[in-house]
Amino acid sequence: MSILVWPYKLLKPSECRAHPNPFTRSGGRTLGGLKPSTRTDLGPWRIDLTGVAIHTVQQRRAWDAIDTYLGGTSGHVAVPAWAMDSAPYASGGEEALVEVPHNDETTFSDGAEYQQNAISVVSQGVTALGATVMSMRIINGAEDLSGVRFSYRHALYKTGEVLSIDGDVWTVRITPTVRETIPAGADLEFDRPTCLCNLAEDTGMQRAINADRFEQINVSFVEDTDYWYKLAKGLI
Amino acid sequence: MASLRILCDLYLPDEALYLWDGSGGPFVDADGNIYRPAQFTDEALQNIEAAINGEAFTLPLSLVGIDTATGDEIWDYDDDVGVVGSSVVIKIQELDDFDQPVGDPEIKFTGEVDNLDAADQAQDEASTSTVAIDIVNAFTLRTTTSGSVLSDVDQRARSAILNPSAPPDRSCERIPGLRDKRLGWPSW
Repeated sequence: MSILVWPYKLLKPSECRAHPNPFTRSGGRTLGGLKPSTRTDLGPWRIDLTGVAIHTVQQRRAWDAIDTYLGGTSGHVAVPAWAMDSAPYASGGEEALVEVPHNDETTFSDGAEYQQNAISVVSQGVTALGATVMSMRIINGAEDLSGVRFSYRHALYKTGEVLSIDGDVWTVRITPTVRETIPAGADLEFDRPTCLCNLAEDTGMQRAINADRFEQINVSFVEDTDYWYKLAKGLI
Repeated sequence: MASLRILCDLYLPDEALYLWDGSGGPFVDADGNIYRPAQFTDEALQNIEAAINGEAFTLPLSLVGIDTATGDEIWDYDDDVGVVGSSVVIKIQELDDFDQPVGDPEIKFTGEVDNLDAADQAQDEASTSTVAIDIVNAFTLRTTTSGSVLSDVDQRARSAILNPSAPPDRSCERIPGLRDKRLGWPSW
């Protein structure tokens, strides 16, 4: 099943907020202000794209086409979860995607070149469904993999503390739980992580026309955990 | 313990449905069963707590966020085979610091499905589909009054089934004569 990816260059938000939503239960707060709580859920991701600027015809058409494709909260789309500010770039600063022509310096007929991520990190060993610890091997990237975001096949993860470092293999805690088994040696997306999401509301992508033909729209998404369950059970 | 999962196993005649209370991704237990995230309604959770504390003999359990396939499954059985009588187990699984299961889950409630009710509720602009499951367990018998009467006729009929070739059981033949007798406790 093909997954539509949000055109992050065309429909660019002015702010992208992506955060998992853990859920705890507690017996309430004492008079002293103490509230012991127990986590019962590591939560799905919620992604808010705020201030998506829409001013060209292409942007309007793309927006409406995605709206039609989604058709309310049941459709899903891979939404960008920007991480350029904290991604482990080898140089320490933000790097663009690497573009390479054919070896005779020619490009494809439409002028496009081969594209490669600036950061190259692969998984080390198989990471099972439901795991929260993962090993990864740095091929090209900063020597620090704690507190960064990455995705694998549109399942978004955030790393936590480093548990062990063995040469260029880093073992880190990740959250939320692994949605789909990550095989050994899989390329992890650190440059442009995405998250498979549903609209948070059926009417989330409604837009209008203003007199000055410039509009900034906010749209919220929540992770499509249903898809991951179906995939795990082999229902898709 | 910082983390736990509330699990619900529903054993249908030829399939088991595994649900956990939450909205994150699929949960895998120590045996490798994959649980689906679904939300117990607030009321349901209170009922579970009451059931766990032994105060409730029946457990009305409402689920929201179950997928079409699961809903179909339950509905299908309700229509054809009869999901009534399927066993339901509510468990609590403790998790370690890495949210992985530690030890066996604690079984908190076991019962049988007594009734199923699928409902659509509209609130504001959204509509919710819930499946309400009434679950009973052995303790339900505590609250029911037994209407059975020991009688000679019943006993003969029963013995005729249990042991057809033997003469009818006569152990209750004097009961009609004892009908109006009173049994009094001695007081010393």
